[in-house]
Amino acid sequence: MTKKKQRNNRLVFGVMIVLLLIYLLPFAMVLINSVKAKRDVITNPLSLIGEQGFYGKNYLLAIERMNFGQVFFNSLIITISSVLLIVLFSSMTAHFFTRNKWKINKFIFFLMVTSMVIPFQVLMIPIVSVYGNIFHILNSRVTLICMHVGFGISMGTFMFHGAIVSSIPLELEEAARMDGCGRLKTYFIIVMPLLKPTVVTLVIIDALAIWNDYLLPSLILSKKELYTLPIAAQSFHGDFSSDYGLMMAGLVMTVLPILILYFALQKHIIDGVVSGAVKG
Amino acid sequence: MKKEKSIRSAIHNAGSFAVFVGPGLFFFVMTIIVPLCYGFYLTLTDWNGIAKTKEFVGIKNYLTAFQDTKFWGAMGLTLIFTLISVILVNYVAFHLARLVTSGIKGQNFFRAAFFTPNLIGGVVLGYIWQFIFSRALVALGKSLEIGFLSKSWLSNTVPAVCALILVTVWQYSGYMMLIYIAGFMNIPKNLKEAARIDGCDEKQVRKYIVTPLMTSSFIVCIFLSITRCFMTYDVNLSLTEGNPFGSTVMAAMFVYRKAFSDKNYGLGQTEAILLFAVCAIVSLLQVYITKREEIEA
Amino acid sequence: MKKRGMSLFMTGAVLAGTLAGTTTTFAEQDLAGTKITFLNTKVEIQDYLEDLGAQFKEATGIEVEFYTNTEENHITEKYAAGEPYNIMMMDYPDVADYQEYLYDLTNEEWTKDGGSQYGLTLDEKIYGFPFVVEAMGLIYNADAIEGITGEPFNWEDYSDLESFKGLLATLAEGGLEYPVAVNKDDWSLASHVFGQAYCAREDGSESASLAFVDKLKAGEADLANDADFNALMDLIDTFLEYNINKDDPLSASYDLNNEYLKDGTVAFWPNGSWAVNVSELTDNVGIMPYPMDTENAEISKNLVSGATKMLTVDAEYASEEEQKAALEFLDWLVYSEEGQRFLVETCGLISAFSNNEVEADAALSASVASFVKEGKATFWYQAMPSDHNTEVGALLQKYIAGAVDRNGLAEEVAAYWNENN
Repeated sequence: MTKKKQRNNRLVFGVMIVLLLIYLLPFAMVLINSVKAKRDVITNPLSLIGEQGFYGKNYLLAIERMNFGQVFFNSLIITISSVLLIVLFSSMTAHFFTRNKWKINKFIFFLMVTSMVIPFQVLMIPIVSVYGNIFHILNSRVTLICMHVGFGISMGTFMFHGAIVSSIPLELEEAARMDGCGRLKTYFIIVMPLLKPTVVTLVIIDALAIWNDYLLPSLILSKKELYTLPIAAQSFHGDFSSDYGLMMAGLVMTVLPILILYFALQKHIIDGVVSGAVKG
Repeated sequence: MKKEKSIRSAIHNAGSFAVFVGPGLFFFVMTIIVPLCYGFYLTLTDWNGIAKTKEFVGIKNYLTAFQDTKFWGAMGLTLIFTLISVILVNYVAFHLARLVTSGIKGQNFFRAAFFTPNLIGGVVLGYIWQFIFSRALVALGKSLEIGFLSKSWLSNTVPAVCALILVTVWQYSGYMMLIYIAGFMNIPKNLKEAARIDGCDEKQVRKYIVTPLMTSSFIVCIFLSITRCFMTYDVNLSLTEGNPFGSTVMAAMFVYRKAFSDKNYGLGQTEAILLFAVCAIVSLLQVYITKREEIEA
Repeated sequence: MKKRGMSLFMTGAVLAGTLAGTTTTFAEQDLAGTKITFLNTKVEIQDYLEDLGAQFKEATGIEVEFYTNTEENHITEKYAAGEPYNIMMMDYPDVADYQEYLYDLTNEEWTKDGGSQYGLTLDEKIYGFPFVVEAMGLIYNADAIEGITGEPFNWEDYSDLESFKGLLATLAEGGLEYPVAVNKDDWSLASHVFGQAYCAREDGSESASLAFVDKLKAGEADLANDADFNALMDLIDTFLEYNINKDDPLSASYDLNNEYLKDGTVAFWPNGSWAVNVSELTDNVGIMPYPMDTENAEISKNLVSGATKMLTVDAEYASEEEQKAALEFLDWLVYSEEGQRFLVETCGLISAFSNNEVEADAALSASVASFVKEGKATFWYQAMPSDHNTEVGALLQKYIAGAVDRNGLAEEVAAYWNENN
């Protein structure tokens, strides 16, 4: 490596470290404050240990108050089901739209993309009015999963659409069809594997959004036993003031699973695609 | 014979449509379209959000909304905020993505670190950044005698908006970075190799191979950042709460307050729909223009 | 001694109840097993409520599920979904919005024991059960003051502006350079600091306050020249002069101000008695009326107080059993020993009911209780329009930041009320 390149690399590395500190600082603050008593969080959020000492009991209190076991389980099944269904349905929809340029497909795609712009607030009251007051299907995790799917289809379709257009050559599928594969089979055997980076990215994005979502679940789920993590964590939020140490402990426990998921999935955003599969 | 064939293929097509698009479409329509129609109907009433009765008032809310100068003021602020934020978010995210896919040491750790801002939200986010702007930076500014840091950014309108932009960039760049990473990963390695063999240097490879093939990612990211910035509510609420004296209230916060705090649901909902319309026009225009640049594989 | 009095009272009540044939029995067999839901907006007492619920279940067999949520429009959402809670703790100004859904509590037993005085009445019917009495005024840390003056602090000595200013000057010279903490939050400035303008004036009665607000709505109140308004503003100016957040009033933090008062960094905090955890470090805290030079000097001797949280019962979506069980619970809060001890002893708050003899322990609550018991209370006007806190709050923020002067403020506040009738 040339000296210049070495110097550049070190410079880049230095910049990265600075950026890293800026990006991580708030999260680090959440961590260190989650083990402090409320007074210490307020008077000196930057100190490593509060004056009242290491307040690990914030976590114990949070677990108890949040009914952590049950609530964690709820979040888990809701997130996993929703994400799987979103990835499945939206990729299939996107694939169909890219390969069949019918007018109705274009119209639906247009509707979906436009719907991503709708502020949730426009739909908040109507959703509970229609599905609560009229259909009485609120207070169910299944309803919530269906709604998460409904909200996630648009972005999923949008992302897959772009990915399929730019990285899945039509010739590949035609080759498979000529070899006798039906539409569905072609889709699952040829297309999906090639979409891995997009699938993984969407899984991370959707899992994060759904796991951390407070608003929609709080509207749909009324019974304590059905609560998800964000709703349970919200219970520390007071009228004028909150116990911040407790809240941060709740937050850390809520985001830890997603962080772990992120680390785990990173390896799957693999390098290189379709090397030499297309000839001529 | 031909008619039979075309009927058969029509049925086959319908079947494929039902299988591939059916489920997604069903959930989409039930969750979004149906409530949207009801929501739109509500804008034609003078409902306050609570009462049993809703009186039909036609387009009165729309007329009021068009004349609501405070609403358009908030929209204007939102537009400026969005423009600046979108540019910054995508610039930072793109380069971060490039850096963490260039093979430097510990890049997985960097990727995770840049992603963490997305994990913090709501009250906690606001609390931490308020502390940083109002106490930490002020203390730093006072001791090092840096003028513009000595007074909390959140106490005056323009610095407060800058603070909002900063936090937004901090939060969304990690998110968009993910999408750009996927985009980088989707570029066939052999294409880059071929270009290098043909004599291109790194800059040219970037200019002629990488950037054009990243168009899809650009489309998605710019679209997502425009829509998210336009609809900013959480950060607005927890960081500035609309302060100082209500001058940093952006559109989403404005319509929320109008509908719920002011108990004028009909008008608030109307303004929310107008917000949606403006944002939709801007972002769809962007998608339409940039989609034409998309390169097929 | 007190306990004997209690059980005598209870026996008497039960006897009276059975004799008079009223519905205050504690173990209605047909309600046992009923489940009701209760929305609590005072997060700090959630644990205590759950303990109370366990006691109630043992006594009556009725199970109460306590939920907590402080979101502004949570109740709105629940009604839109057709699933409101059976009992809801609402802020005073919100009850009117839900009137058509609520149970008419006028004929309940407890109305004669303070319910009608402190409860919320609309169209001559009572819809709100007064859950807690609170007060707004000037919280003080007597330790911090006595540390400098060397003598025990008696607020009555400083209940006019001149003496109060003198005290602040003394404190400043003695080391507490900025002895007042002023909040920056719009809701705090609008309803707790400026809110005094609507009621701490004239004779401090409800009718005087309502008359004044009517004048504002009609655009007939000349605020800038109103003596009581100016008295309040003079006091606010004094607060600002000695404000610990003086160089950047808008960067104040509610929680930090709370800590300042707790540890004596400041001696005074204009706020209200809900700030119950100010006495963590010392019991020598209390609350005093604003030392203003109002036309009626008595105003500075009476504390603005009233019931702030109302319990309402849903009558629209709840079944008849659920409604009955809810009423049972309300009765139990007032007439059972556990219910009475709960609010005052356990939660450290103040009960609105005259039959509640339990003494308040918590320093701030004891301070308020002394005013209330002696009848030294000024009516607390709470029925501002729902955007008052954001609109007028923003104006107050402008004022404390120096972006508008007193006359400008008077003009804009008057304009706000004129448009909002």
